[in-house]
Amino acid sequence: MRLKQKIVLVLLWGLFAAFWYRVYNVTTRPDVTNAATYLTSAVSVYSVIITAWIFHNIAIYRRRGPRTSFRSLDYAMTHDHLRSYILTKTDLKTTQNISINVIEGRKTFTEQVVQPTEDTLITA
Amino acid sequence: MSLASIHSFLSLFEQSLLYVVMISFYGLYPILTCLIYMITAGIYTARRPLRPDPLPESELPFVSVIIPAFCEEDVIGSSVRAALEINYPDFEVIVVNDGSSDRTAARVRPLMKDPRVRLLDKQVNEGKAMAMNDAILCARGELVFIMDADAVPDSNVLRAMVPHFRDARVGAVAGNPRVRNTTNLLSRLQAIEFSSVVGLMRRAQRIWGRVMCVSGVVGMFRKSALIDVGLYSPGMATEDIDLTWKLQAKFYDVRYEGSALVWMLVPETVGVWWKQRTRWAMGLGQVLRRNAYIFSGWRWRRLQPLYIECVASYLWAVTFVVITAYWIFCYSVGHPPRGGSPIPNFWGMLIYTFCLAQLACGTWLDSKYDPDIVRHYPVSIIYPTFYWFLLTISTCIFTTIGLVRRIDFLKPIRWNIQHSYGQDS
Repeated sequence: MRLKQKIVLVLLWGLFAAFWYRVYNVTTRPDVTNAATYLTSAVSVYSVIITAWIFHNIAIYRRRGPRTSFRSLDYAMTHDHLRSYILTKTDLKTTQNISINVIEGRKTFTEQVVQPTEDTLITA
Repeated sequence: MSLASIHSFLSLFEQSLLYVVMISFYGLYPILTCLIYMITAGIYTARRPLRPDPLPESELPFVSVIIPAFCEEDVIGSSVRAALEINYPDFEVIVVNDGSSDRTAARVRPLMKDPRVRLLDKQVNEGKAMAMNDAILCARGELVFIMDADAVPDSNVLRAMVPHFRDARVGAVAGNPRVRNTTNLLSRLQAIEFSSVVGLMRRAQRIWGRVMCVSGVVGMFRKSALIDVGLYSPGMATEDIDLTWKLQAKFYDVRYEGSALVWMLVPETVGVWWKQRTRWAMGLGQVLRRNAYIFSGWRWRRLQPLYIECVASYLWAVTFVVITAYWIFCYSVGHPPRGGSPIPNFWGMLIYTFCLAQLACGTWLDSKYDPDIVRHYPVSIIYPTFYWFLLTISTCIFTTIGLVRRIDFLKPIRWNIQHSYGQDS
């Protein structure tokens, strides 16, 4: 961190402390009491709600029990999300290098055979 | 209209119920949410012993690591190499090059000497969501781990996430993205933000039962669950938030795993950061618009608190901008507004302090995984002012746009590549 940034941060933390000092001098007891009452009530209400919510979630789990079987779904899409017809000309699961192109509304998956060019010789 | 009549109109408005409600919401909401997140994240941390046990080596399933990429020639090589270093017995790395105009594919090809590396070279650019959908079609694993092309995964990331999927209900697990280019104030602020806002919120949301987002930078999914919900939607500005909601709307469980680390690059200039945040804000609006239906049925009740929380934070951003504009107007006509003060008052300081406390809490919780994060905490003094202010404005404008604009699902959102990302610190 640059020295200038460090100085700015120290000044900002100093300003934060100075503002609290000012607030401390002008704040009345009712202000503090009101804030404390609000915060305590809010925390209490929230604690009750979150506890009830956790028990509600646990109750759902107890009622239904754990899901024991996995849904088995096959990806047998004929069209992709942009409504292109899917045409596979290679084994999608095992081919290492696949080229995907959209030709006349058909999304075509083909094996890509790369000839050694300047690009392919780039060291990664 | 005379100045006196403007003053009397303003005084009258400040007595109205609308103004009282707005100013109360403006003052109370941020403190309340800070408290809620800190308490609930504390409950989550206390319950951590309940995390799943590691699986025996022989039971670890095959995993497909998917890296979508668009014009990432500078970083893709190091990301793939880092992915290959993951300490896991059986996995493949699928790089999807989404019609890049640079040499992204050429950077990957030499790495294909390792048979675990596969390349899907798309000749037509269709956006990130479509790239990931195409990769899922080709993935061999039932579990897919998706990470950004500029990210570097921790070597134990898969071992940390996979055991969650032993539970058949789990559809996705969100990881813990960490910032690796903490080179300037903006990136350090984001590092603190990812711990204290994002990380803390996810921990809290896990206790509520539903998670806002499995971020695109690091997440693991059950493939059958992705297929069940129709994969990524290409028309959404934030396809990751949308997918997370779709999974949970179909009653899949989404979990958070703090020890699943991925080191990412974040924007280092305000311009790039602003573009990213406006997209996120618009995405939130789209997700709220798309998922309003969850109030039509009792069975989606577990998602409803999350929706209400998102709406409340959006309304707070609108209130913040309206109240600030109103106060500026009041001072410009010489009318000190009720409840407003150019120098922070008691409630102003309380908001500021609670925000800093939340940032400290998140930083402390994540220091277990990223000890260096504590070193950046001093910059958090900037967060509640400039950073928060810009975030609020972007939410106010762009979430509204996302809410009102019709979503065109046939018009994919193109990549928002941040080429002024920095380098590792």
